[in-house]
Amino acid sequence: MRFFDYISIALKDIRRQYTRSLLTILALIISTVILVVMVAISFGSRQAVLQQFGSSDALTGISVTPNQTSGTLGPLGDVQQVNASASKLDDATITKLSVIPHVRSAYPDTHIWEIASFSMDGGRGRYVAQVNGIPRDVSLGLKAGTQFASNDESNVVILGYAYAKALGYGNAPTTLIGKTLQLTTQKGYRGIGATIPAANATERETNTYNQSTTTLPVTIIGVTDSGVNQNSLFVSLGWAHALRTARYNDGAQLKTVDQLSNDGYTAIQVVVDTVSNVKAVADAVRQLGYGQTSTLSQVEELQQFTTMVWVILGAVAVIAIIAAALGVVNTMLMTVSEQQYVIGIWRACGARKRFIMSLFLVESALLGLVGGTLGSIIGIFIGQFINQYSNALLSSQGFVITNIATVPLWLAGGAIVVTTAFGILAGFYPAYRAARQDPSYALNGGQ
Amino acid sequence: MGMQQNLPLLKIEDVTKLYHRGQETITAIGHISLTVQRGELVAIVGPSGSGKTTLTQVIGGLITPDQGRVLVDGKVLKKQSDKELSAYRNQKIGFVFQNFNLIPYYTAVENVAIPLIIAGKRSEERHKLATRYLEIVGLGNKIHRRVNELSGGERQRVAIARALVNRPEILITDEPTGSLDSVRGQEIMSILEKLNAEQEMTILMVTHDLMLAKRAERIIHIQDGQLVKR
Repeated sequence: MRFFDYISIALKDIRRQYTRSLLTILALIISTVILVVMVAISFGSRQAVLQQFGSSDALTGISVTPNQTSGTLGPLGDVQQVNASASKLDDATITKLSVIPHVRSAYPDTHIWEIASFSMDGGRGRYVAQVNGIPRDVSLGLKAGTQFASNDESNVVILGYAYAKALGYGNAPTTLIGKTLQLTTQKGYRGIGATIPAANATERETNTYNQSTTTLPVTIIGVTDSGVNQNSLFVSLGWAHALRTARYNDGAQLKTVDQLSNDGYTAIQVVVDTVSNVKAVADAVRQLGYGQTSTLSQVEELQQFTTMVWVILGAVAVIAIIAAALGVVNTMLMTVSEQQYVIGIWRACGARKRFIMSLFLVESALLGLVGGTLGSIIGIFIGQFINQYSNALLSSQGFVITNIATVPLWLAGGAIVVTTAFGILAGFYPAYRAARQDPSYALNGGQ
Repeated sequence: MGMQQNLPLLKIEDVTKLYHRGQETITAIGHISLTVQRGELVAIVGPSGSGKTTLTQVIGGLITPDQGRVLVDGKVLKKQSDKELSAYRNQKIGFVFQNFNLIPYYTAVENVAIPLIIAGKRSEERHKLATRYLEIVGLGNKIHRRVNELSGGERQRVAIARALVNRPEILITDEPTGSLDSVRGQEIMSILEKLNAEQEMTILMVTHDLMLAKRAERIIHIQDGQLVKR
């Protein structure tokens, strides 16, 4: 008996019971589609998490905060508790952090609270500004333009890509370079660029000033990419100090208060040499008495979440396949029951028990193979449809365009193998029943 | 070889087959002993329900007797494994059943090729052999017809072609002309006689047609599961 003879005979029987076979295959197709799409979404979302957080460079970053319990931004993250005796983050901290093994660099991250909003000359709308000061040697990842020329470069900004899109330049960020933004300060702003009340100003004049804002014109020199920095405006660290330095006329003297130096940096960004060392460095930072959050830990939490989703979706898919396999069992049992007479003929003509068993196993395997193959192909198409739809949605929400449903070759192939294997398993009992039938009994149609 | 030539081809020793229906035990055949020599054309006659078909199925290895033994070329059938028994049914025995036992959704040539598939013959060889045997039984022009589209006589001939295609030593036919008119019946009988005469094929022919039985070399009478001497 040759292998292709088994296939040929099994196909004849499948064709004989066309409608029943078609319905069984349909059930297998549906279960395979569920399997492929569920796993593709789980797999794709894990990859999407990584993509949303940027390249592996972004994953090597740790954000060091004053002494706080480390919280996370993940879906399962906890809250952060502020410690009143928190250590201030300053240049001495940067020095301490820089000497931790595997730290490539450490730089301050400052939030300029004094800037409230901005608008673009000739642009539409006004936007809440989240402004950060950074040293010039920190690579932001730019879509257009350049980094700061020096640490003290004034009246220039690097614009986050999300703002560029909001301003209507998402597709042409380069054209933003050289355009002017008007930064609007908080009321009573006393930093650089503000015309503060004179020493002899009346109380009324001072009060009036405290209720007014200052507008600071800045030129866009760069636009970030669509990674983690896309929601901020960046200024040079030197100018950040100037923006946060309050000035007061006290008699004949002009007094200044460098609030950035007084308050310390909002955070210090530590860059680790490799992703595998992030955890060790984070532990070292914690031992120094600082809080820390890392993109990696956030990604890991998100991945834990997506793994949980994967397990749930996978379980749904497996249940669907088991249900379809039960359909195969039913179909094959009915076939064995109907085909007793044919089994008897094969046995009377000299077929061994093993032959009969193989014949029915091949038939159920073929049902699984056809159902699995068609299901995988349809699953791939559905995956592509989900990607097109989700990419359009993500794009409109300002996220990085990424494939939510990824159907790698191993998934498509694996789904076919799994469905075929379930087909064989489902066919085992009916095939066994068929093989052990007495030939004479089978010839009489089971009577 | 000489030893084998001297042995009877078929020896049945004290064979009994019982059937159980609820509490009731029915003796299909009881204590039957007989010997068939190589090349004999033997008719087994008896009324319906006398045990003729059971006897042929015991000889054909389709039924295992409850008592006694069947020896073919000196080998006991009962002791054989599934592999040996299947090979015996495939190579040594050709069955023509009373109700033809053809697969209705297969074509004539596909039905005839069944024993060849089991024997592991290649597709082209199977087709060639099956076609030749269908031509021998006069169905060369209907090889691709589904058997459920053929007449009773044509189906009978397909069944004969299938029984002969592996060139068995023993041909067992159960009412070979039972469902045929007299002309077709004579044709089938002539084919069997020709096979017996020209190829020295041993033929066991179950029939209740005494006229047909008289054309055999030997007639075995069976009644109520017992051999009857006449």
